[in-house]
Amino acid sequence: MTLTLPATLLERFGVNFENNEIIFCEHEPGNECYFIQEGKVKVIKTVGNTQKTLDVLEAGDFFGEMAILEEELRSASAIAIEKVKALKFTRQNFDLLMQSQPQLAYQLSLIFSRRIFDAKRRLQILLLEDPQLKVTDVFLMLSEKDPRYGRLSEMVFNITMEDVASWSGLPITDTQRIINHFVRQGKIEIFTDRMIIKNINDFSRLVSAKRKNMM
Amino acid sequence: MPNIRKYNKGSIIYFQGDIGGEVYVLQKGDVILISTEPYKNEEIKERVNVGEFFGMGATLGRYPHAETAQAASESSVVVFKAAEFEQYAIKNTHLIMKMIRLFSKKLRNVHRQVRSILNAGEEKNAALELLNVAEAFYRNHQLEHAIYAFNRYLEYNPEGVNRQRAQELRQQAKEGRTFPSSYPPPEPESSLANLKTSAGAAGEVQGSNAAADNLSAEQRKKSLALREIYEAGKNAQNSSDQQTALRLLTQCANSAYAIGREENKIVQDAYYRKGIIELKMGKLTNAATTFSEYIKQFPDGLELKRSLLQLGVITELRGDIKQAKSFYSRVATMLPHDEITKESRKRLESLT
Repeated sequence: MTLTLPATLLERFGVNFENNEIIFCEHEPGNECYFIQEGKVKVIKTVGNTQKTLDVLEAGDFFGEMAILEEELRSASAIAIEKVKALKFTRQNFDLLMQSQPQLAYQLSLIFSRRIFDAKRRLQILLLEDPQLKVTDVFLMLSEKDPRYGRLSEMVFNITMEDVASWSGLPITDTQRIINHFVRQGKIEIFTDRMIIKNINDFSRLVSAKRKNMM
Repeated sequence: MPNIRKYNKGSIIYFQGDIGGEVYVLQKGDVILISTEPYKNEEIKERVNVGEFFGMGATLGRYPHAETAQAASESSVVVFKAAEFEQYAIKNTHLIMKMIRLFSKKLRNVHRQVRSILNAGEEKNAALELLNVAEAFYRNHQLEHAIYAFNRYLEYNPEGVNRQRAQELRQQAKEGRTFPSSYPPPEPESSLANLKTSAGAAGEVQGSNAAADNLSAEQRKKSLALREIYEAGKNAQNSSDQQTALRLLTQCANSAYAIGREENKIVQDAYYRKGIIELKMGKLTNAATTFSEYIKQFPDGLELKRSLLQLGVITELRGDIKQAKSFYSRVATMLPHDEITKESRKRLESLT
């Protein structure tokens, strides 16, 4: 998104972070939202003793935006992985920002809107009772996000077994069992960092058929 | 320039599943939004008021419409293409603010629903979680980040049970020392600790209780059998073997034998755990039945409040907002005022 920001805005709301500086940590209260102008920010979640990178954000992205309406506990940690220039605003000065840059505010509403859909889609998977169907629907959900979906039969996803377990809401052992079953059937190929679905339409048919039975 | 379109009674403006591309405002007439989902048994209908926008979410996010929009009587509707809508919104920033407020609320709600299933039964405490984040940074040799997080823990938890621990670890991190591997785990924080022990007490079974309850040899044997199944069920649950845990805990819950006090606690706890596993597996109907049965059998039970809360959660997941609110209000007024009360109040607020 190309956006020329006026100098006054930068002066008033601009903040800088050094490489590897922590911006906020998971579970602390916060009421600021950030918009990246330059640099990259890593978003990580702590699970037990391990940390998981959820995303890497760059210029044009928002983060910490859930805090914009209400003070909330941060749902993840944000760490600068390059020198970062960002705009920082709270709900108090958000109105000011809106008047000056309504396009930014509009972009934010688009992001929320997309996220609602993603979360609802995720909930749909969690509410499926059949474990095998859950895993199948995870792959279907991932393929729906790919713009080439509908034209390709074989799809490649850069995900791990843990990712699939997390999306499906199944324990890792159950997930492994189901995926190995698909591997034996020749439907999936797995590598350390990615999985290849041989025929996504197969999976799509499986899910639709089962959904029809449930209605 | 936006168009004005007229629809006859019964006409469909868009179907659930159609890709969004236009935003609509009801100028005159009546429009209803109808949504159905495979796992919900009813249709949910919502009226659009004159002057209200609809079809926004899908068009902005470029995803399929989550509901069907139908004209309930002859209606006229202003139609914006996505780009036109953007122009309009930018000139009317109060609209953007309204959208952000609405979307933010919806997003929070659906995240909460996702967490209800993923984290079912795990009442987490924010202070402890924050401490854990600090210690995780420390363990991963990210000292600066650890110090930042320890500072935050101390700032927001001046009376925290683990205050001293946080200070000690922070000091060690500042000195550049590696995380002390022999450190014991942190203490549970606040009233949550009391909650857990009351539920966990059912698990602290000792052979001597059988004697204290004056049971016969036959009854003692049954009691032991029940406890063994219960412990095995708990272990299976802890190692994520859901199928086995479900089977064993169901056996416990259905056990006709619950004469002694300790045995009674076991059966109660088994019921609650069974419901939680079913919820985690997405088996909403089964989970609802389990929690309802529990409440019927144990109207003064230890898990009454939590079971009612979970029934509220399940009802909310099914889309019956009115019923969900009624469960949450009921829980919110039950004494004592604890974490469960807080949780139910939060959920009630988010539904209004």
